[in-house]
Amino acid sequence: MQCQTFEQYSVDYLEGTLSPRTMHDADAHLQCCAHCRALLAEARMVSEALRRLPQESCPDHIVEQVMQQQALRGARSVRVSWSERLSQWFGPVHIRRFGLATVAVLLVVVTVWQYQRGQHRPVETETYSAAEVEQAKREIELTLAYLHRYMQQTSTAVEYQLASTQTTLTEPVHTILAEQIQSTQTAVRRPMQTLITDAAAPFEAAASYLGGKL
Amino acid sequence: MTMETRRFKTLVHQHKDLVYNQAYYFTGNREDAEDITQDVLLKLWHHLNALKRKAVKSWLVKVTRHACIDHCRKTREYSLSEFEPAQQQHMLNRLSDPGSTPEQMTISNDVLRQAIQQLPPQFRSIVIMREIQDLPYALIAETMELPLNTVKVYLHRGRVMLAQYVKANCEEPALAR
Repeated sequence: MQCQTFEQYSVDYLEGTLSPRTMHDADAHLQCCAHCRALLAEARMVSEALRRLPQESCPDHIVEQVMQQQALRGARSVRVSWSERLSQWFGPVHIRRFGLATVAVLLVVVTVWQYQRGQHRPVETETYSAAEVEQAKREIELTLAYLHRYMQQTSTAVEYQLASTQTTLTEPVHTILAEQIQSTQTAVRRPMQTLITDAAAPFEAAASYLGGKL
Repeated sequence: MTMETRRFKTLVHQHKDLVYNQAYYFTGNREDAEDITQDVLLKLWHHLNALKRKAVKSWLVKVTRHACIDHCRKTREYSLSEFEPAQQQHMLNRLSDPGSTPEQMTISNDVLRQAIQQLPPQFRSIVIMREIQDLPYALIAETMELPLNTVKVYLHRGRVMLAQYVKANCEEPALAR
């Protein structure tokens, strides 16, 4: 064994962790090399002295200062990634087990939740001038007037169509179909009226609100 | 108290002495060790969620080592690292010179602490981690980013350099038993 090789084994030699064969070779080298023998003796002595050095304890005031600083900086200083949060909630085992499927399902749930949250988000309050409110009210009134006129025209058209059908029919047929015509008239009118009334409802509410503003 | 704060507090109490010990023996100064400990523990808070439980200790050892080296650079510390490798080898060779035999030497803690300060940073880190903190070789190799065998060779050389310093600086009465 050369000195360079012995240097590589010297730590293990002192700890007695060399294999019997290498230990034998190292002993043989030490018997014939005074230089390595001296170095090894000094290394052993220093090692024993180092291990007698006291373990220093961190002063309490350092821990207190650290905890104070941490409290000041707060939780915002800790960056938490979404994967870490998932691991905290569900545990790493579950995330590993379900893998991409879990992540995909969670993404869909979160997306839907965010969408619904957006749908129900309250309207931000903005300030409008009196002129702008007046203009909005006028436009809404025009819209309502158009809707009412359209409803009347539709109703008139339906009546006209029914009446014309009625007049072109011969008397026996007219008599037979009289009740059906009446029911058809009602069946057509009611949905039309409902439809237009529903469409007009938000405009009427807005007009009422704006009326209160002015 | 949040979950993160609870975990942080537990880790601080578990590892504060590890960090402080390493910093104290590296810098040889209590005030510097306190500053380094405080910085390292606050860094732990910032990286808490990125660290797995088992990796905390090796992370702390590594960060403390870097903090100590930065500190030494700032204070422009002079040590054996300032010497050329040839000079270091010469000092190692002188250790086998006849003189007081190791069996006759008694090393005081103060001299040993001073001697540690004279080691180049890499040797110093390894000596502290192994001899004072009793860390396993695998963790030291991981922290130092060195092969295991290199760590052991550096440890041996570090011990030998310390013996050189002690021999050169101890008064005769202190050396003789």
